[in-house]
Amino acid sequence: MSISESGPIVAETAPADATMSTSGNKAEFLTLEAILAKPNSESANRTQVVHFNGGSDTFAVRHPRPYLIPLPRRLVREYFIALQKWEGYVTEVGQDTFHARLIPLLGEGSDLEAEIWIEEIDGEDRTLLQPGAIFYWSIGYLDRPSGRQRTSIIRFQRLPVWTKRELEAARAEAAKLKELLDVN
Amino acid sequence: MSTSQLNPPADDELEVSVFGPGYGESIVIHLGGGKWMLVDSCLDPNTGFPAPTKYLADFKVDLASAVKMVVATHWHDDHIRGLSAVFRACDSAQLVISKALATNEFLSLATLYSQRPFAETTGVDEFVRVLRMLGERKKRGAQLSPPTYAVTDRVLHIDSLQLASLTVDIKVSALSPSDASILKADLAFAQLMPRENLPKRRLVSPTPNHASVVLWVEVGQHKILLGADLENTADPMTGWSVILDEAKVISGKASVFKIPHHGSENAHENRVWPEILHPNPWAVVTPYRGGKKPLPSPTDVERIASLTNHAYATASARQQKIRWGERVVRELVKEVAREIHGVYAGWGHVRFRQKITDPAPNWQVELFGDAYPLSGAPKLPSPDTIPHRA
Repeated sequence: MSISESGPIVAETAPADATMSTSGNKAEFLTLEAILAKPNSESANRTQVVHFNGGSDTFAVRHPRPYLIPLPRRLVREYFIALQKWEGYVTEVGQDTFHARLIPLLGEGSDLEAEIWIEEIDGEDRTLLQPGAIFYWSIGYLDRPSGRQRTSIIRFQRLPVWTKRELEAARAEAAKLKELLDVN
Repeated sequence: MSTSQLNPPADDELEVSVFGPGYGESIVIHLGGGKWMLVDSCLDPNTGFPAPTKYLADFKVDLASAVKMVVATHWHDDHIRGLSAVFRACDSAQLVISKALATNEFLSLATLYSQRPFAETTGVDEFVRVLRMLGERKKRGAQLSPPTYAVTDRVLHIDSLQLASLTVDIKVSALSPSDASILKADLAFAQLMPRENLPKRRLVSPTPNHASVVLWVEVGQHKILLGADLENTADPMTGWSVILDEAKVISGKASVFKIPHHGSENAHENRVWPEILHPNPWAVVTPYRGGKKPLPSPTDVERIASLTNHAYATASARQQKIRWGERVVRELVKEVAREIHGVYAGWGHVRFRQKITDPAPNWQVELFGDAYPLSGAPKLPSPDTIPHRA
């Protein structure tokens, strides 16, 4: 079965004995959450066709009588209260530290130059630690039911890759600029 | 701006004004007779306007006609902020750029990075804006004047000035980049060009800076050497060595020296001082605190002060206390960062003026804002000088 990674999964409800076809049936489309929220009697004895958006494969299943399942309430709530936030970019990477320029996004001050301990960066983000890499450094309080905690978070930005189209567009634009420069 | 700062130079007065650092550095030169040239651009942190054009506008100078030349010594952010606004205002000025920046490699790199996904400019976006302005001028129907490319020994500007019965020659020449430097810069730009499917990152400037334009300005008997950010290298065909060994446009000795690359050791070439500078020249340095170590370092200041007692800085490179808003921020920063310092180093203006008709150098010095004399230099009287902030 092919499942679209980006499209939402929707469920289609129809009479129990109907032959289901995605294209020819003007059925009521509901989200799975909506189906779960419907009264039990409405959904009983129906066949449900589940169609994964973006794919061509469909299949019919006899849907068991759904039960109302109360959504779990979040028992734990956390709030991060940012006091200072910088956008930074790496200028040089050393053995134990890296150098970076910090531009304030929130809080006091002007631009800063910092040498930051690499051990402050988590394992996954360390692979991104290269000259030119962009990161965000937030300092503040993490408020939990268990109490307040002082927190420093450095997260590296996962920028998209350069595409062939972007590189070609840059070269084309450069060629236009070159024409302006080469008038003589 | 202080009242004495607003006094324009007389027609027969030569002026070299150096602004910075704020967000970069910039130089304004009065060539005499109401003609000006501008070198690089930086933003006045108090107003956010480009410092060179704001200074001239305060004199009621007609920027569109009086500014003859705008030079971009290189593309680094601390030399180019606001340059597109400067070039737009100075509508008839000749644009001078390093020949190293007219290559396909650099232009591709510049256009690629001119749309930036992060807050801080890299300098290339400003540079591309300046070049696109050439296209706008063409669309307006103006005669397209392409940039003049600076390369060793190229004469960029020739003019003359009539002062009473005296005719004064004006000549501005480039001392760099050399052919070898252009080649090296091109290779460096090619290496910086990203490949397909590699993650985007911010453009990081290559070092050393091979593209920088050093200028030699002659007005009558007086010579000025503007060192830009040119650094020394081990290769005798690049950096200061090739200028000293090969440049043919240098005649006589300069009495004013804009010290290169914020006074760094890398940019110091001992031979420059005895070979092409007047004894005890008037020298000015612009601090830079954006790197790993603030420039000039105390050692750099000591060295400069030992070479002349007319040395000045537009502001201090000394460590300034960071004002943390919250105690918890200060404490956590200390845990996470081994070292941290502010990039802003104050804002000042060093102004040298000299009668063009005086045969010997006798520059009058005025200091404004955070500008101050480096140790050994006499503190010169200026009613508007604001003492250096500790």
